[in-house]
Amino acid sequence: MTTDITPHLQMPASFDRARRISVVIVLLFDIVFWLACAFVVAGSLALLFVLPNLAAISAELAGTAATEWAKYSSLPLAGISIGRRLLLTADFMVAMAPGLFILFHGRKLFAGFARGVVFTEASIAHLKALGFWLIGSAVLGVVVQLLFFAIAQIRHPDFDMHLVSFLYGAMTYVAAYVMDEARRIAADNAEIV
Amino acid sequence: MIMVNLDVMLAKRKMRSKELAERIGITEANLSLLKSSKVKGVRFETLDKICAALECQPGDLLEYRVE
Repeated sequence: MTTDITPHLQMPASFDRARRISVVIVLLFDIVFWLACAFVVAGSLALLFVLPNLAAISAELAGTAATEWAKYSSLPLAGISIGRRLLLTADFMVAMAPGLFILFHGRKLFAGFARGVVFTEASIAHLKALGFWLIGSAVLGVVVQLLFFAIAQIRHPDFDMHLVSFLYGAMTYVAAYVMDEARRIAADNAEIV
Repeated sequence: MIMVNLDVMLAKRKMRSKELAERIGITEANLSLLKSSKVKGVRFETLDKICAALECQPGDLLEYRVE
């Protein structure tokens, strides 16, 4: 029933500039995404393998790290067992996951803009996902901090609520929801001659 | 369901789809969809123009059929 009644939107010439900017933004998203992936891998490996071998790397480094660690935690640095390290690694990966999803959906959204895909179901879905993961990063941020404080036996936890991420996420999600409604209305109107 | 009898009226008036589309200011593609009843709705404005061009009543163009 909805064959080709929707006319192909003629984008104004000014949109070309937006498309070119989107190409640059996609490139930046690509770079940051892969750097973040590398950071997650490097961070996880460091937690698993470098932390217990600090003394083997440098006695001075191990001493400094242990002293610094003792300021915040009642658990000695040498007492971080393999089980705790695995938990810390999992906690670290969960903490980083929302950021990776945000970068992934942001990249997809701007890649769509670069192709001239603006008010489509796909681009709105990516915008919604962006909002969702911004909210998710705030919520998961609280959870991973609690887990970190528990695993690492932090004495006086300094809690960060990530309220700004939550607000941005909520606003983005609502904006995407409104865009979706507008798209549906436009699609309905397009089927009326 | 509502059927559009535009084909019948066009034949009666010996008018081609292209000419009607030009007269009422819609694309041939959309007129074709209207002829085959593949649209969700028709604007009164469009109906008014079609009736004026074909010198007919809305009832001549639209018909209700039990599915």
